[in-house]
Amino acid sequence: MRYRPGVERAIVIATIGLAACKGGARSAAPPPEPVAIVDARAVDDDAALATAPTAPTAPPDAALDAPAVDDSAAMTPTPPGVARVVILHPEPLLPSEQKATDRIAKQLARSTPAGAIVDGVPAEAALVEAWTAAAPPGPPPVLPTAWATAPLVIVVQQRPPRVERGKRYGDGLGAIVAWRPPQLEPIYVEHITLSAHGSLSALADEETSLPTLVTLLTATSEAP
Amino acid sequence: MNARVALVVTLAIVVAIDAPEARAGDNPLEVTIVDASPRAPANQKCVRALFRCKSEPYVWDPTCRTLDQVRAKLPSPLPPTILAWDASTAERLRAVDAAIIVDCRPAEGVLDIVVKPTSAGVVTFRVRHLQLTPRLLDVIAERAVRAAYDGFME
Repeated sequence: MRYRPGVERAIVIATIGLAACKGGARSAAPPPEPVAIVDARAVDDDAALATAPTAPTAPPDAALDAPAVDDSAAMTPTPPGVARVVILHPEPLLPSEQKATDRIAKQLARSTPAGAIVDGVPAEAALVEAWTAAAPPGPPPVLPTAWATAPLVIVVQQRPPRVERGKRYGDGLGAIVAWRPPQLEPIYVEHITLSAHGSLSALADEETSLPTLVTLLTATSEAP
Repeated sequence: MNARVALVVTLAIVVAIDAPEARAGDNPLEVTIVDASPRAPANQKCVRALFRCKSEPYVWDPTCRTLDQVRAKLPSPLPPTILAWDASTAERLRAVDAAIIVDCRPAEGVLDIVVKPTSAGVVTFRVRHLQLTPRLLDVIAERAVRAAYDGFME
């Protein structure tokens, strides 16, 4: 049976109050241990981690140090005409993030244009770093040749997870950057310096989901 | 005696049941929106299309300003683009819950937004070479407002 939240609370308080009247403070339960409030979906477990199917793209600092060279050979190819959706994750995805990625992949398969998710490589991380730096790059960096046949490339950069008491928690997104090859300058840069803001789960489910962004950024005409 | 105490406690609880509960969204997000675009009717229209400067009870209570109106709060000289502002500069415009600074130039296909919510850090948006269609503005505004709510305590 479901009650209004206020009624449930009142019943609990009434029970405790009557118990206190009856048995005094001795029967009162000890206060609960303070617990960190986290997104339960982002809580990891070690067993799941060991079997996380997706490999890390690069350690956090590698992206900054990576030369802006074309390492297309290392990139997973995407079919011509399909939007390339790159997930940059410095460490293996949490199980919840992997599930969200799978949901996004299914949505992208039905989108227009269709999209394919691939793991990012250091050259793609370097491009994101270049366009989210304090000062935009002078001459725009060259795009990888593996991007040439994609109508849109959108890179989602995950922040490294936070580790608290030996457990890993998602710390949100760092950036979402989209290009329309062969145009060197990105058409869309969303740069997030907040902690734990945004997530792959949100990008799968919210109104402005990743497939929505892919469709919109592909379909919107160029400025005159 | 114990029965009387129990009765008083029970009556107090019954009264509490009818007390209105605080719910998420009871307090609107109080946000300062600053139009940092070059002064032109099309630019002003774009900012209004993005963030309707109209209060919505329980959701959104915007105060809209031009950059000239808040210039005294900002350091001098300012960087040439709002995207080069550091978080502390944007923070100076956050009167209550959040500040959103917008530079919208539809004729050039340029849109820059800086969102400074309650929590530490900012979210910036940079759009180039695209027609700023109503649908595109809606989606970006949705993402910007979501960022503005970061750390907001109802």
